[in-house]
Amino acid sequence: MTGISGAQQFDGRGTRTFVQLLFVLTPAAVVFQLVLMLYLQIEPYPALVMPAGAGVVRHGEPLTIERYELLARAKDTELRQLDQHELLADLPAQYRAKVLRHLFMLAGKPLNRKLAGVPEFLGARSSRQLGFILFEIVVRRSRFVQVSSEGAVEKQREDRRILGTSEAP
Amino acid sequence: VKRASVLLDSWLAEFQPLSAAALGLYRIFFAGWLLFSCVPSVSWISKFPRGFFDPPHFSLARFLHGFPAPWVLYFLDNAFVFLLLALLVGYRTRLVSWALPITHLCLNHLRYSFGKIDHDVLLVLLPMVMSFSAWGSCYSVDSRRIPHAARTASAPPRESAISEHWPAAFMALLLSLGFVTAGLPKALTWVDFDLTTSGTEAWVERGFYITGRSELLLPYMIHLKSPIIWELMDYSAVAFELSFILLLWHPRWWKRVVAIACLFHAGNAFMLNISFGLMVGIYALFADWNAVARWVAERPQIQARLNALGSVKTLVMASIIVLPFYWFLRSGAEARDYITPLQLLGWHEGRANLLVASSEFVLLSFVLLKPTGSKRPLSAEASTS
Repeated sequence: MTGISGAQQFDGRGTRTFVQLLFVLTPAAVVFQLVLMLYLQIEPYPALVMPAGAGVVRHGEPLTIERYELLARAKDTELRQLDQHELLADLPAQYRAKVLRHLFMLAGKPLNRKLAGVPEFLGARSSRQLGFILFEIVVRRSRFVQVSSEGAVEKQREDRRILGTSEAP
Repeated sequence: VKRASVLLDSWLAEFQPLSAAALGLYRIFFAGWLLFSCVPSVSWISKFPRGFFDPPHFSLARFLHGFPAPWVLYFLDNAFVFLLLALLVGYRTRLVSWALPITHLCLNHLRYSFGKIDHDVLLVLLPMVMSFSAWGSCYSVDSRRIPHAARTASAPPRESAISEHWPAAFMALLLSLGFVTAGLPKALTWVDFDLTTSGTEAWVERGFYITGRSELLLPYMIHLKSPIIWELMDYSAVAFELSFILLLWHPRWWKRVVAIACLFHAGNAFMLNISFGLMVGIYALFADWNAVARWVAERPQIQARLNALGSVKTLVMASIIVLPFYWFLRSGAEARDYITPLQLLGWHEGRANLLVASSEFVLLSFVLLKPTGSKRPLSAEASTS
């Protein structure tokens, strides 16, 4: 440390006070943000808080995996799985799982206006992919349990929610 | 309180006292590196319906009812690239240092409206914080606005320049606080003296089985069965993340922690396939730019070229070339939320991207660990062109 008096080193008293306030208030704001995050279990943006990922696993304990998929069918036919990488090719890969999870949550609520445009958007693309006119489009959540260290999994349960239905011609 | 403020002033004076020339060089590096590594892009958003719109809590995008019109997205994309070029040449640096983060935040609020966010706030804030420093007063268009005589006369000697170097120290504080928020929750669960559990293993398993990462050492890490090694990795991660705040008071040791952080990120790239390459631009601020400035000052040809960079003509020429080039990069078939010239070589993702990021980190760690020469920055007279 130099030990030089700070007052001599700043251009003016205003700057010095501003800097000191900044150095005191910023840690306080970060602590507040961290408490808010831990208490409300949310991930805000923008935030100085970095991801902790503080969870632990027990060695050898099977891992539970959750996957979301899109399915579609024509009238009086079985549901077929859609290739979501092709269907959402223009959405950066890191957002796909989050988007499907979001659609699954929205589809659980009756008459959800927030889903506006989604069945039409996915329907048009699915029809092109599957080659038939769509009657129903569904988002499926499957829970798997890892059964071997090589990554083999076993399906535990699945839930399906209808994103949109239309009258087939 | 008085003693605390004197201690704070002394710490600020000691932390990272960069000369105007050193700051100017860092500004050029930062803008060039960002332009080369990760320019955010949102033009692709316009294709998606409102139902996909899921902004995070406290996001500005929550004030919108859906994605904005395509022209807004194209404007933001191009404005960001132009502002980066303006920062590179030092055109109206203080104004640009605020306009750039505001544009960056707008871009991020929009691209993170699909429910997933990245933790890049420090990168966004850096130009805003550095606008309080003299990073625009050398090798810049701004330096040409002030006559040489006036510049040398008004340039403050080192002892009166803390109001110029506190921004770097403040960035160090922000970085340390960020790492505390990552390290503290880990300390509560990972440091459990229980050999049957592991936090690092949780990251490895999630990355491999859920996210689908399988590059470099990650497939081998999955088969690691030694509880002691897992436990040691847990403790070292916690110690490393908390050491930022614990050593913040000792500038020299703190910079060594930053060097170790570079190696930590390189290790993460290999073992967890997480590159976090955006930290390179932030960590680089704590390199010995005064030594670089001295090196440049001894080479008149290089100095003349750097001075030539700071001209309106360069900005106009660069805009004519770079804006269409980035438009071309954005128009590629593959959807990307950030663009980089590296995508022309296919080095923007997968193994190549991890190797590029870890190479940058290893290189930077060597730079940061290099013993520094004189701690004094160049005098104001020597630093001006």
